[in-house]
Amino acid sequence: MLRKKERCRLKQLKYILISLLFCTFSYSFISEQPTTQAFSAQTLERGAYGDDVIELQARLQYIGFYKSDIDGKFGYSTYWALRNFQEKYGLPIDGLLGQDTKKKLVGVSDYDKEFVHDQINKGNSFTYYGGIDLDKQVKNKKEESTNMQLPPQYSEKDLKLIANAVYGESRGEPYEGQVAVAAVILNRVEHPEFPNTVSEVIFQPLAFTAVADGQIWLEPNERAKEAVLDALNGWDPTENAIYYFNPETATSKWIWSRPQIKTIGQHIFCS
Amino acid sequence: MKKIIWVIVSTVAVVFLVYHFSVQSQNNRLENALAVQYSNQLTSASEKLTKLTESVDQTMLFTDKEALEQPLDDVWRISSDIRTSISALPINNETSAIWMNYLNRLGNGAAQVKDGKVPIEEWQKNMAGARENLQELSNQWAFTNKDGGSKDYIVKAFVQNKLDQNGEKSWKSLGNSVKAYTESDFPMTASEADQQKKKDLQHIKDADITSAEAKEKFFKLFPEFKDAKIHITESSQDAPYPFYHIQFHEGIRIGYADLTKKGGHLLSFLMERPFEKTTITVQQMKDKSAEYIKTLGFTDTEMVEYRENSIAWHLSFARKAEDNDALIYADGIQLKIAKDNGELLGLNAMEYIQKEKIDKQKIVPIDKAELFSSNFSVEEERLAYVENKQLQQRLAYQLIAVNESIGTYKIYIDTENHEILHAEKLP
Repeated sequence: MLRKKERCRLKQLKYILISLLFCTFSYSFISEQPTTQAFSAQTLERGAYGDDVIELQARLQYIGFYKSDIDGKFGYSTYWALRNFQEKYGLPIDGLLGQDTKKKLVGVSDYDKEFVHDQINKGNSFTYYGGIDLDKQVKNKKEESTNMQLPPQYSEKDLKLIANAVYGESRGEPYEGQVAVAAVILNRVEHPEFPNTVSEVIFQPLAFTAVADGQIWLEPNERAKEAVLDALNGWDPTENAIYYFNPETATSKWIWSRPQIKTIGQHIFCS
Repeated sequence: MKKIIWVIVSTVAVVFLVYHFSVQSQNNRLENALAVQYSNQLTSASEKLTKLTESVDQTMLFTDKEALEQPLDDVWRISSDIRTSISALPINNETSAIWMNYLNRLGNGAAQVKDGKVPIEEWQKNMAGARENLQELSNQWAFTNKDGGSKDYIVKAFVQNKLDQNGEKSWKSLGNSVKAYTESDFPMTASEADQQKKKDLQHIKDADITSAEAKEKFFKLFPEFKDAKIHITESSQDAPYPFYHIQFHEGIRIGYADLTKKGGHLLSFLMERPFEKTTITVQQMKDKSAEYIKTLGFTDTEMVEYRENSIAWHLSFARKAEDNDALIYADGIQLKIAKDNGELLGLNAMEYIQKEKIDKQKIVPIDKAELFSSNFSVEEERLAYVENKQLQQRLAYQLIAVNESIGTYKIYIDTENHEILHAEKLP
């Protein structure tokens, strides 16, 4: 009877040991690929933005496929680099960063997250090629980047300048009113009665109060930048206005003669 | 004690005097610097106006295309230069806008003749009268600025922005002349008039809806705001097309939607709210966007691109032509979708409801090897409608061409005459 009990215990012990061994093996199999876990579970494609894209660009650059800036924006240069990588390693050539491509990329490249993010945060110009001393790949500080993805016809300089104007002109206005001020600037650039560039429109004498009183130089907040981003992407709450004024403070008689479209917050928008 | 007070008062007086003179001298230096800038722009515009009239005259001399190329190019370039000078002067808005418009039309006209878009005979016919007007404007500008050499005039008129008290009449009459000449010398072309009509939504013939119907339509489109506080206003009487402006507020969400008065078509919708740090997947975002497009009735569109940013995705859709699936970019829709939960934050349908008129067009095959240098490869190709310089929608080959060191370009080539309509570098 006792022998039977002992045998039963031994059997139980055997099962426990086998389960433990299985768990240990599974864990070690997963932990053998620690860097795969650095990427999130998302499949990345053109248009994506963020830390996963930074890692993708850095890894592709490490093995020589990617030659542009590591900026976290999945544009065409990242797309072609990824496709070339997929072609070389016999993966389906789709320009998507799925699980198989991630696994392969992690296996053949290296990624020093701390170094890469440190350079980006410092605004340094840098590369991340494998086999070259990292310190030698860092150059002087480049121009500050907004880290925003814009429609191709606009530059980061446009965004910054319009955000400065929006913040200086309308920071006390509702969000819609801030998008509206940005839209007026963009409508002017397209209009034959105004200069053809964002900077010429903004700095046209007598055009904007914020330029005259120096408030254009205040640092815009994230809300103003987001409002400009919406305007650059096509939103125009003014319905094609090219002028606006505050009826409480406007001194020009002429501005009252312009055909009015709508009022948003403190501003009347006109064509 | 008296001595001490005297010393303090004297010191304060000396400090004040030094400060006063230093500020005054600084202001003088700034005034001088500005006066030099403005004087430069005034005289530069004056000189260039003279050159412009000469160049316009030269375009009247020849009929040979090659001989005309330089004077036409000069008209385009010099008119652009004068625009820059005028836009840098603190002339009042009205006068500045009139001048900019005049010069823009003159320069564009010359560019179109140079590109073969407008026959030279037509230009020469129009310019026969316009050249005299331009000469007159050039003389008037010189007259208006006859005191322009005087620093006092420039400081008072431009630096201190007292144009109202100094020479207002001459500037105003000059502005009036330019306006009259713009209307007579450069009347709006048929394409421009069509474009303006489209912009003013003149093709929408639906019956007017009331404010209550607009509110109802808004709730139907966005049922999630059925409990929101709503404020509806109508566009001003002078607005080119009447619309309802609906502002809403519900909890943390605040925004607006514009609906046309004719038929209640959605023009745009945008809202603001705080955001969580979570992110849905790209596939979830695509599924959500497809759902919004379907629910809001834009099923004849296709997603052409999307851009992820810190709090939202901005997506672009374009209408597809029925017969050949070509993308009609001018009939676009833009969506803004929240990254944290996929909520619709914005929709812009202004372009979509303008609905372009699409004409049939021949498709003549192109030889890509002949078009591109050997180090460029064409990776993608499809058909799309894009606008040419005459503001007409043309069917085009949309090509994605790549060069490893130069970058990736999207190029549109007219399917009929193989004209390059547009080329843009992709990020």
